[in-house]
Amino acid sequence: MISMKGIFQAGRTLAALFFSLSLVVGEASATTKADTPEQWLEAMSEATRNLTYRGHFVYQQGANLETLSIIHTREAGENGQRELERIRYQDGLPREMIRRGKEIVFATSGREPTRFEHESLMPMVGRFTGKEFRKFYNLKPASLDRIANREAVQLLVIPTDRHRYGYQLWLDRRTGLMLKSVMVDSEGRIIERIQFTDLEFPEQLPDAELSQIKAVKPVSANEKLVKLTDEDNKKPAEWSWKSGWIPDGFSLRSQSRRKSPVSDQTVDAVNYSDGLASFSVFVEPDETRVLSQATEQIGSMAAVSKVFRSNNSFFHVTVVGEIPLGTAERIAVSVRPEEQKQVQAIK
Amino acid sequence: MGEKSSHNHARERLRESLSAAMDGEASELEMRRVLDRLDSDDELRGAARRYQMVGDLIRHEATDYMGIDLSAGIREQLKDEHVSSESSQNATADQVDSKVVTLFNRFWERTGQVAVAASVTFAVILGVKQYNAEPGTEYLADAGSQATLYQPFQVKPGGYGASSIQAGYHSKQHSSISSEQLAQAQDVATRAIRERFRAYALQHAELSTMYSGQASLPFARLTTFETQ
Amino acid sequence: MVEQPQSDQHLVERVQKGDKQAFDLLVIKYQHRILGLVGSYVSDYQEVQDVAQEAFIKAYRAIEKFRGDSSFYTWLYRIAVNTAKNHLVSKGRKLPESDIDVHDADFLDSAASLRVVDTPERNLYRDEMERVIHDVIRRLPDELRTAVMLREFDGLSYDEIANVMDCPVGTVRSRIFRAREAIDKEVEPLLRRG
Repeated sequence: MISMKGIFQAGRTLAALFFSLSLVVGEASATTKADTPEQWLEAMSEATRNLTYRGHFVYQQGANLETLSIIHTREAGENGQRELERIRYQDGLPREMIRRGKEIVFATSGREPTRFEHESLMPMVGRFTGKEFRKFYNLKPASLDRIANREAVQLLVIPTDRHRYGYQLWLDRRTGLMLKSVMVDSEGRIIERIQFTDLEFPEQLPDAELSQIKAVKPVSANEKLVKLTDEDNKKPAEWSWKSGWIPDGFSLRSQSRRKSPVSDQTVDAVNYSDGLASFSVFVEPDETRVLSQATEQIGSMAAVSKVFRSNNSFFHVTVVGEIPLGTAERIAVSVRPEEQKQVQAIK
Repeated sequence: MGEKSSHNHARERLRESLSAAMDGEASELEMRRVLDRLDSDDELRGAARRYQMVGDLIRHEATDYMGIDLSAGIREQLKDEHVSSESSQNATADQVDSKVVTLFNRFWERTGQVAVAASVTFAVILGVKQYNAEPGTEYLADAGSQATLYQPFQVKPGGYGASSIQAGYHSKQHSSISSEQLAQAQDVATRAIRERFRAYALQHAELSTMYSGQASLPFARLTTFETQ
Repeated sequence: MVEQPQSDQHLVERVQKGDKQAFDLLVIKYQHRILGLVGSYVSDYQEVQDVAQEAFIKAYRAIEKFRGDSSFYTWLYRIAVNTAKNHLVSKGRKLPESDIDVHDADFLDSAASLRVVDTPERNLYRDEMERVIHDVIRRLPDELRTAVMLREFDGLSYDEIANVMDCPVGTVRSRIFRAREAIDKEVEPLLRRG
């Protein structure tokens, strides 16, 4: 005997299944439980890195809708395990991202590809369970739902200040993988939506697909190569600038000096994250006198560029991230020259 | 695992949550799950009542009323009533910026019926915004309002497949620029800027993927700055 | 049974925030005790139910006044006693001479149950149920029996039981659940039959 109310509720809670994520981890297929929302988020990022999956998802931002395909796996190699991944844009200009462990290649039809190579991978710290994270995001579970024909656990991620966006996440009940994500600004508007339309977890990806990923093409003359040694990733001894202000809760994730994507200069690249949102600050000398003071916000991304002057040099500062525009602007405008160490004259 | 046995497994887990919930030892999530199902799931409800009865019997505290169930009648009677208190509105955490919370809560309340905003949140501003600028750092086109375009300007090939606009510093607008030229210049400038942002966005995507652990999601966002 | 004030705390908080389903579970937990209590004031079988239901309604309507100074059950108990007394007064009946001291809530439940007017059939039913249950418990594996008895009879929390049994809390939870399921397996058919 089910009351009418029960039927309406059933529409929301669908199956007689439970909220804890029952995770199938790697080959062991041991089931672990994730009970708290923080644990769900950890499970989500682990699943994304460790599982083998294949599917299509849509990315929507404003009036812009893209379909992308993704295949992902993790394989054992000589130097331990590495992630293999391929994301392809199904619409418009053919573009794809291929990941082979520590190397990422992004290729656009008609352009030179860009390849990023790291000497070693930075370890991922537990991001969602620290006190800091909870200070800036409130996590609230919501009812069960169904996405891409899979049961999903809903999670609301509500920011506690205006320097970050909110999220509504749907995580696959069985694996923790994110099936859908809606990003919301402080006015409650949806600024980005990502949603899987189909998803499967095959035991293994077929060899044909894997070899496409693994085929390392020789570096072409035109290719943009960003090769980063561990040295590059360490904090350089002296940078000529510093971030005067970054929003609370964001911490430094990487600093490196690399070839600039827009000139022949080297650019200092710094990345910050609060566990969910991230932004990068790029500083490079300005020789080309390019008009570059601009702010732009499209969907979830904000981009701000400024020029500042230190003595007789001009520097471009560019801030890019999934943060509100005002925050990105303030970050950019707070970049200032580092005080040069004065050589003390011996009196 | 067959569908039927995974269903049974799920029911068992639910009952375990109920068992813990009645002892006051269930997690918030479990509590929610159990409570959500309590009025519609007769089996679960029956199990709850039997667990309680068994407890009474173990303690030799069973009464002759143990077969009676008042809960359905009570539920019916309370159907249209609401707890009225201030405390019921302060559901969220205390230290939150209340305006932000209110707006977010409004969104969450509408969840499920919210349509994607038809208009793109889109602003391209060429200019300078000042935020407590410290003396000693100078900005291009200071005290800027609208974009100052440069004349003459040349489109110079170079960089990452982008056209860059060569411009001089401290330029000012010339009255000899026609409005078409201005519009065209603005268009080129926009595209150049967009192209630069795209190049940086790619760098940012890679940094986020490698260091902020957003998996490869940032690469999906690169469409944002694609120039048509 | 030892009182467990904190075990209801979360439920009560939810009720105060407007969660009726949480109140539903509280009703399931305490309805029989309240029925027994009311039955020591009111003798008519149907009236006992009406008054008990009224007591729960009153508790719900007054829930925001509950401050947690006492356990929820003690607070509910007082409301039930007052409701029962008011009922008697309104019917022009006499109040029982010795008013039941609210501080003896635990003791009183047993005492109250003894004063209920019962028919032989209902008595037998209860006796049979008790016998079945204790039989099942006797046959349970040691660790399950200990866990469920510590919980139901001694009223210990999961943490306390984990301490006593020197095992993780998750194990306690699982043992109690399995014991309950084993008992339920025998009890459920009896109820369906009865």
